[in-house]
Amino acid sequence: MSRHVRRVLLAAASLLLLISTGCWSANEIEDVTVSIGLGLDTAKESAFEKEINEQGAHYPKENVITATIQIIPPINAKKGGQGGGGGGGGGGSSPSSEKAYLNEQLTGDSVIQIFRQFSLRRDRPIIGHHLKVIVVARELAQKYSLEQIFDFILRDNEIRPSCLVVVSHRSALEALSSEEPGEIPALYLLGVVNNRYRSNKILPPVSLIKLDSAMQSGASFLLQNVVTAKDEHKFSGAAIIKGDTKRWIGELTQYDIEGLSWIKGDVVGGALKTYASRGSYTIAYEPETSKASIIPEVSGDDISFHIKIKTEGSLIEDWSFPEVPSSPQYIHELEGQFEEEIKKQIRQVLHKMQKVYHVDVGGFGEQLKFKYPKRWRKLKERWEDIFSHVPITYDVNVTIKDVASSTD
Amino acid sequence: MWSVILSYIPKWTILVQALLLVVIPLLLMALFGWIRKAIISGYALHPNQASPPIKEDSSESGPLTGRYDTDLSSVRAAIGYNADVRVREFTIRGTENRAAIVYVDGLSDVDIIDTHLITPLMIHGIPDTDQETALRSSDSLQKYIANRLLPVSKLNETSKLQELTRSVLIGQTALLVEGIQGVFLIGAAQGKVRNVEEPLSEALLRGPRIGFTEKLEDNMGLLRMQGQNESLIMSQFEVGNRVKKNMIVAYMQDIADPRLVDEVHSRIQRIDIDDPLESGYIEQLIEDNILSPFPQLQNTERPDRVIASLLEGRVAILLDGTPFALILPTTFSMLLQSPEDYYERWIPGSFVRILRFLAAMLALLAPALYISFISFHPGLIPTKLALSIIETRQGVPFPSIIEALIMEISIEILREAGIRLPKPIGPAMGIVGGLIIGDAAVNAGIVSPFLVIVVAVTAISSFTIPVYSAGITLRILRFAAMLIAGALGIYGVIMFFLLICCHLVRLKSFGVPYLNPLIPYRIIDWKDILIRAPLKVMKKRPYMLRPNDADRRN
Repeated sequence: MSRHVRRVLLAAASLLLLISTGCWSANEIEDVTVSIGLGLDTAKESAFEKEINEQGAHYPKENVITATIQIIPPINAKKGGQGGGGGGGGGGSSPSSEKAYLNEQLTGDSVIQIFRQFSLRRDRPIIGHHLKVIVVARELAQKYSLEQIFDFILRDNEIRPSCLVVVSHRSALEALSSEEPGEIPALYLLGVVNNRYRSNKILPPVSLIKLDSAMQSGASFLLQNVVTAKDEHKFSGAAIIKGDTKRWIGELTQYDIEGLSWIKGDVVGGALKTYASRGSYTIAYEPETSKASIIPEVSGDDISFHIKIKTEGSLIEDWSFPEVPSSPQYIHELEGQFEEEIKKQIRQVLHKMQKVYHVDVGGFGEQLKFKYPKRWRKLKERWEDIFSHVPITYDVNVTIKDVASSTD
Repeated sequence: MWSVILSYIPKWTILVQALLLVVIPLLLMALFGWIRKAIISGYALHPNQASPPIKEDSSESGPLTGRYDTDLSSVRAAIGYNADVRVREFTIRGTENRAAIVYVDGLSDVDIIDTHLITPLMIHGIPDTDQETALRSSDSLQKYIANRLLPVSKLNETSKLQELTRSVLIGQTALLVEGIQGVFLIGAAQGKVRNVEEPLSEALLRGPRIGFTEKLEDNMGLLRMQGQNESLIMSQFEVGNRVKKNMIVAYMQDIADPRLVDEVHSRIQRIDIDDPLESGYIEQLIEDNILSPFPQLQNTERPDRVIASLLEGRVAILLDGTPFALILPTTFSMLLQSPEDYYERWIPGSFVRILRFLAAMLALLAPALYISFISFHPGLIPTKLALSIIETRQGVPFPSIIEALIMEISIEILREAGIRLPKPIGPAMGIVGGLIIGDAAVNAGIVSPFLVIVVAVTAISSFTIPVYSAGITLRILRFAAMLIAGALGIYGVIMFFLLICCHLVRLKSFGVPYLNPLIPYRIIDWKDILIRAPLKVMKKRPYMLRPNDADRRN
């Protein structure tokens, strides 16, 4: 009998061994803080930091970078019907308690150290799984290579590769601030990117993983630019990141982006406005589809490109007065006008790419690589220099399928 | 070079871990094997073997003497002390022969006794013209009475006291006549039985509204009524050492695999129990693995379900005294199938079945997933949902595992109470329990509203499982899943799921793998698992049961 007892005890003891391990890595969701946006600026200590530094709360570091973490919901989140969780938010820059978010800033010279430093300030540690948007200030991207800035972020296991990356013209903190009650700037930025079907002035979204691959490929690339004024934002143009240094070298305007989107053939919406040749009144065209092919041509040492662009859409606005009936000739005439306008846009963006910044962000090198891989291998090293002098021709074919719901 | 190779050899800690990974499952297997064997061998030891079931002593088992008074008094001595045994003495008209009928009140059919026994014997009797022939000898009198005076279909004769007493006690009526050596046994038990009703535990919208009752003969009749069929075999067994009960093993002679039938017979013969009260006893005594949480025999109240299984080549067991028939071998997919799948057209049938699989997964894993998401993987919840969960969980004092256990246990208590509650107040208590307690728990801040949704969905999902015993299995396993989720998160849940899969793969029911036809992989039988293929496609009976006749059109 005692043998049985011993066996039962043994089983119970081993069960206890299993149970007593407990929930060793559990961390309840309400005990963490969700960071939803990250802004990276050049070093600029907030008032809070200055004050605590005076009290001796500093550690060995250089002031290189200021990280702004946008966290939601803020402490004392409004519960039930009781409005606002009184008192000033702990952060340096959120006096209003109606805000749905909180921006916290810290300065340092290592991104991970700054991240972990937040654990000294918040009872609920910050998790990065839900990070949606990373805003890099133009100034910082000009000073440091993106590879340096993003090194930790790309290595980190928590941050998702689907996180959106944008560049802000002014400080990233401004891009992550909003006056509108209830609005979360990070989610706002994320939402605007989805409006591409309404405007071809928005770049296709660049996620962390795309940024990583762009940086690996060594080619120059574009990042969406955000301009801010009075805590309001607008997507405008794009920041050019030079392929070899991975630094900011300049900007394309939204007009350039339009031209670029025609070259890339990924226009799915937007409005193309120009003026009719007869009476110089406004006319507008809404593209529905567009197709573009970049055809590299090599003859001997000479390289040239030809771009074929085809688009279909509708005539969506016509200010002619008295109204000109939409006869086939008239439509054809307008198609010519729109083609001219598109060519103008392309001409301008090509000029910027070839003459001003000497970068190839239109995918020309890629096409050459596909078609003439041997040639490309020779040219790869100094492609952007060569690209600056390559002749590029283009033809545009606009087809107005219909005049929308116009009755005349 | 050696240093490179050496650098790839793991450290001893890794090796020990690998060793443990191999040894622990083997140890567990050995442990369970040992427990199973201990239980089975303990059962087979049979302490009563030396003294076989005590039978009526030889003094009573002797033959009847043929002398009316002695026989009647020995009958009285054997069973007369029972309050419900009645003896009615009278005289047969036309002769002076005394007669007595012995019957059990409440069990025998008194109408038959009055109209078909007492009336012919007492009122008509033996007319004068026949007296010569009838009264010539004991045999001729016996023959005369049997042939002319007892207009009943069930008539036996015996000359053994033991058989007489036994027959009387199961409801037959004994007729003793002076001057006859033997005794007539007339009729059968006509105890009070329930009418045929709609099965409570397996209600259907479409399909026969008929269920088995407690009477074996009626149940056999119900099976026969499902269709005229000569190949339906019902062989009778007697189980129970002390209280004998009839049991029927039913199968289709030209469909069922004879080896399966033999296996069933041999397992039934090994049953050793004083009284199998319900078919659940039989189920537990002949199942393959007593430590498995999964039911290895399916019970059902529906004759149509039994017939459908028989036509697939399965075997059914019917026991006297219970409306639940057993179907075997059982496979996992049967637990999630309802007869309605086949009665409806195949598209809705398939849809409902897929829905049921989904519900079964929810019933098993939903609270475990909730716990692991909340406690371990906040990154796996969509951002906006995560935000609202954080907001609602502010001020919940417990970790999610405790919170979920509180709710799950209270809902299980509610369900258990719901079965016992008297009918008139059942729904009211359900509302009080479900709505008021749930709402109050949220308002009091004990649990988060999101959990209430999870628990409610889980509870509802577990009701979609058409077989009640399978539902219980999932409910038990759900708690195990929750505990593991509380310790290890999603990793643990996946490990738990794999553990169940391992168990199911090894489990067999009467030699048929439980997960058949998923494992062993037999795609031809997949027409009836997740989807229910059109009937015109299901031409073949499931191959897993190795039917003699595979074509359904025969």
